[in-house]
Amino acid sequence: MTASYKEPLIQVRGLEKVFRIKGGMLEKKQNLRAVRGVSFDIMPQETFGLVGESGCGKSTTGRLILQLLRPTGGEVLMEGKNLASMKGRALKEQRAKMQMVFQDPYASFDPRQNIYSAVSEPMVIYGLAKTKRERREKVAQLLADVGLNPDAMEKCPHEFSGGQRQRIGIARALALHPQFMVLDEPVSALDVSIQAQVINLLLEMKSQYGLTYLFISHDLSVIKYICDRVAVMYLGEIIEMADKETLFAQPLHPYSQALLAAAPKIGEQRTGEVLTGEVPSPIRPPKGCAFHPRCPHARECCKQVPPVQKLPDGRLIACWLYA
Amino acid sequence: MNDALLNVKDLTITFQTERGELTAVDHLSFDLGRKETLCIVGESGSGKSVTALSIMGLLPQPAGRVTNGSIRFQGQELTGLTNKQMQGIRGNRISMIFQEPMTSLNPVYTVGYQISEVLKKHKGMNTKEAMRYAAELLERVGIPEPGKRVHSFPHELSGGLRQRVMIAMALSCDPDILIADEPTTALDVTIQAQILRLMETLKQDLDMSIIFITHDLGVVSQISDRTIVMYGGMKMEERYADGFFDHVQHPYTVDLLGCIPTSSLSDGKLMPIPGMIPSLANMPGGCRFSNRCRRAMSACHETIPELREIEPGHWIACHLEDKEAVL
Ligand SMILES: Nc1ncnc2c1ncn2[C@@H]1O[C@H](COP(=O)(O)OP(=O)(O)OP(=O)(O)O)[C@@H](O)[C@H]1O
Ligand SMILES: Nc1ncnc2c1ncn2[C@@H]1O[C@H](COP(=O)(O)OP(=O)(O)O)[C@@H](O)[C@H]1O
Ligand SMILES: [Mg+2]
Ligand SMILES: [Mg+2]
Repeated sequence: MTASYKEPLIQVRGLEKVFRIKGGMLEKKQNLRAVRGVSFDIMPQETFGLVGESGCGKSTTGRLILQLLRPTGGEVLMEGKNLASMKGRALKEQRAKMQMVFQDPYASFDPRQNIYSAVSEPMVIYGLAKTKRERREKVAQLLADVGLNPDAMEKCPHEFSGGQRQRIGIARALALHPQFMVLDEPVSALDVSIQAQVINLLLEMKSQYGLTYLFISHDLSVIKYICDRVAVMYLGEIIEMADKETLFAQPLHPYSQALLAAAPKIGEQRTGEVLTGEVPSPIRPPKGCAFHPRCPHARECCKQVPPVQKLPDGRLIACWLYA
Repeated sequence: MNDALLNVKDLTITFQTERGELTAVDHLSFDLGRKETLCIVGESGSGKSVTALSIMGLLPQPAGRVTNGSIRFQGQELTGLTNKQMQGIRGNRISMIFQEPMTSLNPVYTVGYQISEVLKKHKGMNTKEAMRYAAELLERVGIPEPGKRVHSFPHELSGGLRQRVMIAMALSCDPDILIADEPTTALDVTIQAQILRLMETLKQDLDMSIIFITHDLGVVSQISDRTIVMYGGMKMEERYADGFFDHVQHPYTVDLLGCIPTSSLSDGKLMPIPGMIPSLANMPGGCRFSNRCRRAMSACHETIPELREIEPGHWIACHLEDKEAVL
């Protein structure tokens, strides 16, 4: 767990992303509000989880933090420095400290590139490990760290299984000794027996290299296993954020409750009410609390934006039930 | 069991590939009872989809073949039927839905048109009747504003609604068996919960049997009457009795459970299964799981264990003695 005297490594302040998208054939361009004012801190060596259903803005948030996408509002600070105001060399150096691992172990590699070039590429770009010999040693070490045989270097991505490719993706992300990694559904495409291997690997790498993670997943059990703190997102907003123990012992936001209840649990029959309806379009998110049209507790006041409350147990929640 | 609706016996399915003939499903047997939900669970490549396709007579041609065994539906042998004979059964008595509905919906026609075509073909309705009935089916599967939705194109619907359309289409001829191959894998959990509940309701209302294919053991807990665990094309474990997860015996199933984080706060450390899922060309000899099994003995590498009943309604294929098999 994180000690409270530390400064946050990452500070996210009112982050927003509006995509301009084409409407139907005759329609004008529309605004798709993918991320709508998201704020949180990530402490050094913490694993911070973002969970929510498809399209709620998890990946966009991750990309905004890494400056792979330009925010349309808000800011991201790393070690107190505003990333948007950095340029040139300073930005390049800062970027090396932040890496990403993607969901799809199939799409994240150039199929013609062998593993040596894939993993050593960032080192070349950043002029780390000058000679080819040094680079080969470094790649061999990284592959060994992620549990692969060094002879993997000469092979191409298609010769590896999904789990092995994910290991290679992790090795590549580690090549520049990052401090911070965004893991975007890193195990979602893997079989369960392989998923567990990769989860344990991520935990090992974290303690070995003192990493800080933003872990994105739609799978609550995986989030619960790996994260220290968790934010639940719905339609581009964080609706509840708490320590893992606090949230999973007792989710308070009706959406968090529905999400936890909907996830099938091994050895348990179905319980409780099933949430009706579907997530509305981020082009026209409902006014007020975005969840109110589906919420079993919705009242008149829910058509107004709920204030974000801090509860005595430290959790943040945006719901009129607790205001 | 003679009163079973479907009997699969010693089913073996092979694929002709550059690497020679590979066995995807090996001597698989199971029965499906009336109004029963059979869950076939396994990791990727374990042979779940191929099994389903063989029942439907839809194995990829000419590579895929049933080389041994039988599939009997209400006593009638399905292997060896011509495509034409199979058409009387497929979509009519046995229907199937897939993980990604877009692969089976035609993007250029409205969903109403596509459902009504099925109705015209199998039920001999005219266009007007078929359209009206299509809207009724959409209503039955919980699609809001069905009268409007019959005119929607597939891409105008969300993933959850498309899967409902597929279910509506599969149900259009009141099938005896619905085969669902990972129908909720691509959906969000709250939508998955809706679809599972819908299938349960429809099963009760329509007296159907369901073969539900999944890799998600949580889903199995919710819906299964009979559970089959597959690995490497073979059945490792089967239980037709309550409390599957309290009684798992096969080392593969036991180890698989150790790989899954649960949502309870008190669960222990994950214990990954070492190694990889072998490809068909690299299956170990003996038990398919032997090269990853922590408890494998020399016999396990040599002979394929017979399936044996360890208690009424519970079978495992493992060389370990019953009592030994629990970790
Ligand atoms: N480049 C883009 N252009 C337009 N819209 C986009 C773009 N990227 C994302 N979106 C939209 O922004 C919203 C949030 O998408 P995002 O990928 O962040 O969701 P997510 O929570 O990661 O979902 P998933 O669980 O499916 O990965 C969605 O409505 C998505 O369609
Ligand atoms: N058309 C095909 N040609 C060759 N092999 C195939 C073909 N379709 C499936 N297989 C192989 O058969 C095995 C079982 O596949 P499948 O039934 O799809 O598995 P799953 O349990 O994931 O549904 C896999 O090893 C797969 O690679
Ligand atoms: Mg995403
Ligand atoms: Mg499959």
